Amino acid sequence: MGVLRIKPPSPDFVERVKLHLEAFSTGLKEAIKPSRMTIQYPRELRKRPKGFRGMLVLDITKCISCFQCAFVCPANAIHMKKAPNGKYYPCVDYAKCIFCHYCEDTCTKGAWKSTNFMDVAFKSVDEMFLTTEKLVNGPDVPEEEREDEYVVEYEVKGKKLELKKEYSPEKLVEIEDSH
Amino acid sequence: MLSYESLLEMFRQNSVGIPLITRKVVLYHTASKIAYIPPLTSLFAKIPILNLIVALLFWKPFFAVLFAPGLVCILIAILFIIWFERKVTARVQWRYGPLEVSRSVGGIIQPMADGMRYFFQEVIVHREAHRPYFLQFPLITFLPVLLPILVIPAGAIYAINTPYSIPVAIALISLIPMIIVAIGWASNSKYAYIGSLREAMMYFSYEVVLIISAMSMVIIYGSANAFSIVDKQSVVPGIVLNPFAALAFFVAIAMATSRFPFEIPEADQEVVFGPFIEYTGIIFGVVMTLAYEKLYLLCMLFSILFLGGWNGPFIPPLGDLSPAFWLFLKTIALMMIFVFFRTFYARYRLDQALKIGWSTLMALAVVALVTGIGLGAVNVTGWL
Amino acid sequence: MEEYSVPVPVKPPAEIESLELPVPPWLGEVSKKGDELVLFVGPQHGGSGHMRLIVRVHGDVIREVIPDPGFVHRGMEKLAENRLYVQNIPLVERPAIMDCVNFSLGYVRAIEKALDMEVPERARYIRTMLAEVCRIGTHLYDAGILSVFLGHTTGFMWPFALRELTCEILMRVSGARITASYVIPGGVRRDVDRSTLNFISDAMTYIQQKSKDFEKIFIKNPVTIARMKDVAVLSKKEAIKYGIVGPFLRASGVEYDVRAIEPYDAYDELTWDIVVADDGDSYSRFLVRVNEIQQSIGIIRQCVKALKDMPEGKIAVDTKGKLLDSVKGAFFRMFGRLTLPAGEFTTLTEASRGTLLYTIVSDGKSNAPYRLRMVTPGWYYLKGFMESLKGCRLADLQAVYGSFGYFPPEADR
Repeated sequence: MGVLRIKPPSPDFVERVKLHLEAFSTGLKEAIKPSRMTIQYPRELRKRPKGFRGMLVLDITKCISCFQCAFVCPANAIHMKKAPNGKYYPCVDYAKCIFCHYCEDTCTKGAWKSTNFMDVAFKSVDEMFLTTEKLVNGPDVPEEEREDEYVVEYEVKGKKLELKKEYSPEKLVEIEDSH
Repeated sequence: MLSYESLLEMFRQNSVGIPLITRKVVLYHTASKIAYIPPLTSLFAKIPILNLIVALLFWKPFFAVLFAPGLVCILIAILFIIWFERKVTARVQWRYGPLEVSRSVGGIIQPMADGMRYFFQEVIVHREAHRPYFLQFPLITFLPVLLPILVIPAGAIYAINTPYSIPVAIALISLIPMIIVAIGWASNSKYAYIGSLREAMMYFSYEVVLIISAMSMVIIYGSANAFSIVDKQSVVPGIVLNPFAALAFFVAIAMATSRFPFEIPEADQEVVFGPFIEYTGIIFGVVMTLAYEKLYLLCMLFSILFLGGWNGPFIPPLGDLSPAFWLFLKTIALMMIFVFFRTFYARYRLDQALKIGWSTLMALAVVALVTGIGLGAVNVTGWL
Repeated sequence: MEEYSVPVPVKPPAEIESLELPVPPWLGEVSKKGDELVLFVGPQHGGSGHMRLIVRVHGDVIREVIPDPGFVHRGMEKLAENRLYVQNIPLVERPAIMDCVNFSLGYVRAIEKALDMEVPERARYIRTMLAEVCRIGTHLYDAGILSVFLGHTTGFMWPFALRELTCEILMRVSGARITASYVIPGGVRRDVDRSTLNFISDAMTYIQQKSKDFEKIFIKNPVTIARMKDVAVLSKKEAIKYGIVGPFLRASGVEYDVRAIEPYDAYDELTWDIVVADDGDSYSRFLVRVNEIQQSIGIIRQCVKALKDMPEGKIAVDTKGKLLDSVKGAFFRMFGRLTLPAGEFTTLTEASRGTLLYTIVSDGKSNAPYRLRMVTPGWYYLKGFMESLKGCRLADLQAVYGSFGYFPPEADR
């Protein structure tokens, strides 16, 4: 482990002129051949990687009402509500959820699953509280409200950054199969 | 005593000839009949009041101030250059820039959309402002913007042909900083105060250089009349004769119009648009475009002094507008260079700008003056 | 130079009486006299961040700057007292946007210190790698803010665009772009697969290559050099006296880096240099961080190589010393009833902007900390930042602000 002592440059007049020109040529180069990396959001969606922490889906058949997820939730977003069958099942308040997915890691039975989806807007605060029934079905985007045409992924090829575009999938929300 | 007819005759004597609109458009032409659309101007030739208005609009001095190279051209230039500035900056910065408002044409109507938004925004006059001045000064700014047009000719279209056109134009353009300082004073706020102080300091640092470099060109050409200046550049443009003057004038323009790297009075991270901090709505729109209007005027002066003004191949359908078109084209090209500076420069500090203005730039201006006197003494334009 | 007093028609600001500002009462009087201007910069000002700076200006020269921080104070230390130990991890990484792994790392190491946990080798390397990714992200973020404070908009957009790649790395590794919550006591939450490692090293290549262009357009731009050189100089002695930390201390010539002095995780197994400059001005403060990005890229490359050579799995250890391949399902068993032995546990971490201190005080019985002390680098160097501004020009206020990369949410906690 060494020490790297840097010397800030102090250019003289000729060097300064050269540096001015260098800055100008760099700008001009980008103006002629830009290396854009904008993703035009509603039309192009970012590709979510495997293991993305998105909205949650509950597999109610696996849930054993152990309350562990509600206990460990840092934001107190999980509420346990009593179902008609006498067992308690979790509900998620997305007004509080911070998408840390401690619940998913906590669940010993693998009842919590993540989706690749989190671009969701609610119309009111009350709607943000998802009951167990809604959690089981998972997030849903109506076909007529979809604006996305492409899914874009950053990929570095050699010395260039490429925006790999694919046509949007039929089904926007995909549930990940963990375990 | 001016009668109605003599007034009409005076306007018609000195009217702008644009074949494109003053010539009748022949639809079809056979041996027996001719069908044509009568020219726009002759439509109203017989109607009493309208013919005077039409004649007035095409009267050269009026046309110069109102259309080309005046108000309408300024508006077109501003709308284009604001869009271009945002677009080229975005391109360099790996973005797209304004696009969403009209995707098919690259968002070119974005400045108009912004203008419309400004128009419908509430104009807030804060309690501390000197209300009458605060509201007046933005409108008064049109005066020093449009008055120089009177003496800056665009080929055949001119208002006043005077042997002192360049000095008078520079003197009138120099009124703009006065109004900006007054705006800052009328706003009566600390940031506006600092901003107008910065504007005054910048004025102090570039004005002498601007005048010296312009005068050195006037010495070379032996005349301050724009017509003879452009005539003498028909072979060799002024930028080749005296590149030092061109460089000094160029940097002085950047300082004068607060382009980067001298965007000091309006620095939005430091003094938040400086003198214009308290303005909202359409009045802000007016004062914000002030720098661009000034840029337009000074670029026009630059192209007259250094780039051969309206020299260019004659375009028959445009008639008298042809030289004005070439001048406009050169001006726009220059403005595009100036706004490109935004992409790769930070801004200097006020004291550094002052230092540059009075050391490097002043030295350059003196060199330009000496070159100008030398070339003027041997009458270089005479034997070119 | 002789001084003249110019009567400036500016009233003392009404805010001095109406708001409870940390301003001595005589400051209002100063502006009445007329040769000094008391200027309020922020918290809505474009060049102040979420804080108010009360500036006494004499002409164009700053006499004194009084900070008024606390606009984004969220009471993090108090909040931490009624949460489980593991629930505090998402909390403590909130203050700094890009610096999440460094921030949670300090907290997690304090817990590990209390429990005497031996972190598996693979987890140590992953942590180090992500800490450096976050360091790059933060330095790029600060470079962007500095550029826009100088008015250089391209210098603002490029680092922010490159930072997108560090976000992408965090997303692929941990599942979230900014708030990773990735480091847990005893290891990390997930393993990193080979394709992600490849992407990380590719992204580093791209950042390295693009920073050459950035150097031409902003770092070595003569305007930038003119604006920042010999501005707000802090000598070595002053820097130590005012308690500056991190890259800003190293810019004044002090060879201090927690990663080297008290190495944690995998830092002592890797080769890298402490970047030091001697000038102590704004420009060297910036250059130190620019060079640290290059060092971080080197560290990440070594980590990626080491991780590729290592067998996958075994990324966490539980409280009983059992190695785990995945924390899924074991999370509650590990941390649900976690209590620390009674005592005080302090760790120092080198976060991107400097030394980060965590102290956990545990009473030995409850499953939440009795007290969590968290001192962020921003809070450490605020005093030095204010002192260095004395004698600068008014336009330098933002340049110095950017050169320190001061980040109010981080300092206010």
